Amino acid sequence: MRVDTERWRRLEQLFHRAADLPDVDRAKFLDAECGDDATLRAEVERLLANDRVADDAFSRFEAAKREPAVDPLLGRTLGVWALKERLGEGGMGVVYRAERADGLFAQEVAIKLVRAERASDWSLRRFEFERRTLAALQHPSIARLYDGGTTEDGRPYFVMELVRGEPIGRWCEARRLTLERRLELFVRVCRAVQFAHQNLVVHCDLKPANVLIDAGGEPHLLDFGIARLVEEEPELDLAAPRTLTRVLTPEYASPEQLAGKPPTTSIDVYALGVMLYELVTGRRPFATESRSPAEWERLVREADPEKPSTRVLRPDATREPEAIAAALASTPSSLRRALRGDLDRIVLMALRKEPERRYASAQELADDVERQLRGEAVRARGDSFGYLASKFVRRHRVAVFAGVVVLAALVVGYVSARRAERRAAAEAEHARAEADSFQNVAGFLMDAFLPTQPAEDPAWQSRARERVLAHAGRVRRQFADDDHERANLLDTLGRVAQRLELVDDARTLIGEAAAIREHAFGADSLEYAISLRHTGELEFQLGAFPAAIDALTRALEIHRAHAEDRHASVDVIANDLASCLRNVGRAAEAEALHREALALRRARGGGLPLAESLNNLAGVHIDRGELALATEELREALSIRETILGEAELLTAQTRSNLATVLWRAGERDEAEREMRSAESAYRQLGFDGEDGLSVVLSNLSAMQLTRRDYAAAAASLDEASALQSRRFGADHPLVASTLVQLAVLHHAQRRDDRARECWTEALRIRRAISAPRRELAETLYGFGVFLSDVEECDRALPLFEEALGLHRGGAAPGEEPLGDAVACGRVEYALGLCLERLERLDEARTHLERAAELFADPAASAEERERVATRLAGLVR
Amino acid sequence: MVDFTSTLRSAQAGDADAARRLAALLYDELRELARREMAAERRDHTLQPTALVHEAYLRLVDGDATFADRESFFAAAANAIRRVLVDHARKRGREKRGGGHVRVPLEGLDVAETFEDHELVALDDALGELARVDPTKARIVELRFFAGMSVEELAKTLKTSESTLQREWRMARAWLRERMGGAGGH
Repeated sequence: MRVDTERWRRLEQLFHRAADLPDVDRAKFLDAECGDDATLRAEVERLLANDRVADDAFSRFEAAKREPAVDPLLGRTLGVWALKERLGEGGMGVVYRAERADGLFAQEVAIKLVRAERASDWSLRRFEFERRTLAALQHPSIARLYDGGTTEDGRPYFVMELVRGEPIGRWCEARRLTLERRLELFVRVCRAVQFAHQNLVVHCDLKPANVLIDAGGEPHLLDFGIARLVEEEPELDLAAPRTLTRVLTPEYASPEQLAGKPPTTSIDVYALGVMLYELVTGRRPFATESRSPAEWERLVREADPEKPSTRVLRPDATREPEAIAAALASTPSSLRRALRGDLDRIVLMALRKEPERRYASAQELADDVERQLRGEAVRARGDSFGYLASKFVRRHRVAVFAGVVVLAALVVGYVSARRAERRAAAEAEHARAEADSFQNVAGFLMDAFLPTQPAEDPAWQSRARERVLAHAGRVRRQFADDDHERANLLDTLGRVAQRLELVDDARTLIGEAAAIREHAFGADSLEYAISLRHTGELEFQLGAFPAAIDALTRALEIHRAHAEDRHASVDVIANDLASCLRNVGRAAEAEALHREALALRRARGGGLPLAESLNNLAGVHIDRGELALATEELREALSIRETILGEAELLTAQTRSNLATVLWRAGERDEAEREMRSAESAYRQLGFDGEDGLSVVLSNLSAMQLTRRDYAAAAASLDEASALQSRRFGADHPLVASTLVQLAVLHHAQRRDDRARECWTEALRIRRAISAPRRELAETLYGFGVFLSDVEECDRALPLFEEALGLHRGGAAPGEEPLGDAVACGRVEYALGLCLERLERLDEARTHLERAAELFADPAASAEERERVATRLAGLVR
Repeated sequence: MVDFTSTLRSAQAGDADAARRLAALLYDELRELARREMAAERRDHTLQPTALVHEAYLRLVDGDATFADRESFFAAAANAIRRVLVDHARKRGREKRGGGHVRVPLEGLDVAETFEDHELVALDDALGELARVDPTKARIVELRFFAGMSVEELAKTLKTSESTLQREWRMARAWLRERMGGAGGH
């Protein structure tokens, strides 16, 4: 069909022009325009008739069309909440109306689902940490935060009071609210903000969309504290104040917020100022159109906003001054008169560039607006000459001391005291948090929160256990005929038990779920593989590597068989399995699996998973002594993680500490210790979350300090590390063994022989119990042996050296090869020779010393070692 | 595993093949969702089907995604959704004569809820004709109906004013109504 473009344009034009005319004028218009072209006229008339159809699919669609709504999440459930309706979308994520899915009682809430990219900084634990403060924020004008959690794919969500209303600006415009009524409403908003500030909660994303007015004209503030939860790390360390990494809504962001300064209450005061400007003039202080972020930042930091009273006289892109004033039921000139003077000053004072020159609080801003409403003198003043002079000075980069700093310091001190309290309670808090999140996940639990116990209550864990077991019983009964759900819920309970460190219960529950899935879906199903993976994770966490390897190997087989399925995640399982294999010394297999995962991830575009694989592969290379390779891998991993996550993040700190270890081994001692120190400080900033990593870094630092013979520092680091480790990992863990070895060396160096003996004994016991890699076991045996010969117990040292030699030579099990470390083996031979010499078994001693001499021919041996063994042999001959 | 985002990036860089793959990807995803719904399958707690359209959208609208991303994404999504819905509508039409009637609930998608099966089929045909006469209008209708975009979003995406869009929509609506056998047949 050939399209007559000309005719189509004409048709369209006539249609619109006619449609805009009153009915009575249309015929005349069409007569004039169409002339003789009856076909054209008929077409226009048919279009016009169709334009007014009131009840068909199109009109139903338009009526239903309130929100963009291609949203497969609707109808799903999150915890006990079923998502019913999409309410809107903002910078942070999507908001839904949700109802209780269990129908226990009718309750509607709003659920905010945080956008995927923003979720990377998130930790549920952190949320639990802050939730109490936010939940305690009870004020009629502040929408309550009830709860929160993460979806299965790890995106955080918040459960909040559902508010039905309109954003403040639109509400005022629609009702043509007068200036006076707007100011009254604004004061109430300020009071709510002030209440939150008094409770140490800063909003950080105040804007009209977060200030809704309900049908009764009551204001409701949404999302208090949420912006900081999503954007920011917990601020536990006063020495290193954190910043907001991203600004959610630049139009309402203060200069210091755009500059990345730490969030304070004055950020909210500034945002209130922008809102006030908008309420009284109909637009924001600066126009946003087509500005780059840099231009915008410069504008907000440097340009002075126009006075509201003159702004209202100028038209903007869409409206004339008359229209703007009409929305306030006024005229431009009388609006100008009303704004000029006090209101100008109030608005501009709230919008000042320097936080300390703004209103000190939302309260002061509200008070001044009220004074203006009552006709009293306001506090806001214009810029004095003194101020202008100091501004000039500041622009010329001369530091100017501000007395207000003292006040700020007081506030900060108060906040940090509260935080220190919370940090002390962190562990109990953590346990409670885990139990709470269990309730979200298990879904059918009705109690809103577990009973709150004082932090020091020792009975807490046993009560938590009772609850887990009681719920498991209920699941078994209630879902007796539903294998699928029963397995899901028992598995979940098992993982909750795991996090509560109820190890045996975790094993039972996860195992039970696995058996159900195996039976219901088959031993080849991805469902069963999930159970296997959870088993693997549990055993891995407990350091039971053979069991973990067994489970993960089977999980990997299943995932490989389903490689085409998009739920299959070969790279993830391969990575976990490889980590287990590395821990038991099966380095070649570990390397192959890590390389496989790495290739899959690089092909998929890299990012954080790639960094994980690089980091882990480097671990294998470190074991093998391939330090150059490992350094390269770690530097790449570190740069990825630093870019995406930032510096004070768990993963970044972990990579940095690994890099430091490699550098140390490669002899780059200064750089190594520097990196290790910065990893330490990152972990400390992370507080509770950083403790595991901190314990490792402290052990490493201690080793460095020991090398420098700084015994006091080494002991202090190790003490802290070992306290952390035994608390976090339990006794039988490789890390605990490593730390014990170091402690033993340290005690020995300081001639605390009893303590050293205890440490060696325990380290050896652990390494045997967990079937540690042969090399590590050989090292432990050698070290313990050296200690024993040094304290004149050569008879006890002998069997240890002999066992170590056996490990070095291999052959104890079929196919077991020598460890291939000539120097380490030579040292054992030498130590054994010395022992035998002291025991006057001279022939045997000679044999071993000669072997040592042969082994020290290896270029890696030091001249000193060679000389020592030669001297010893010469003495023996005489 | 197919990387949605990178396919999308190639598509918007002008790779026609990637654009086709993208549409196919969306189509398969939606068909799978619909299939699960129809079979009244229990939702697997652990292996929930990825909400691909939604996720991909969320990935796109933030960060450095430009409106060009949005447009190509939504165009592909709208087209895929249209195909799913119309296929089902045609199929149900045939099945209805045989007696069985299975509703595909695509919750939240207004067009699926407000258009009857025969109306959807007629709309599809009429949209095909409109695309030949005035491709811009056809695209606006497709995006609005099948990608669920509001006029405001459309204006941003297509870099035009809301009032222009409203006029385009009004004309398209009148013309489609007529083609679908609405009023004005004299």
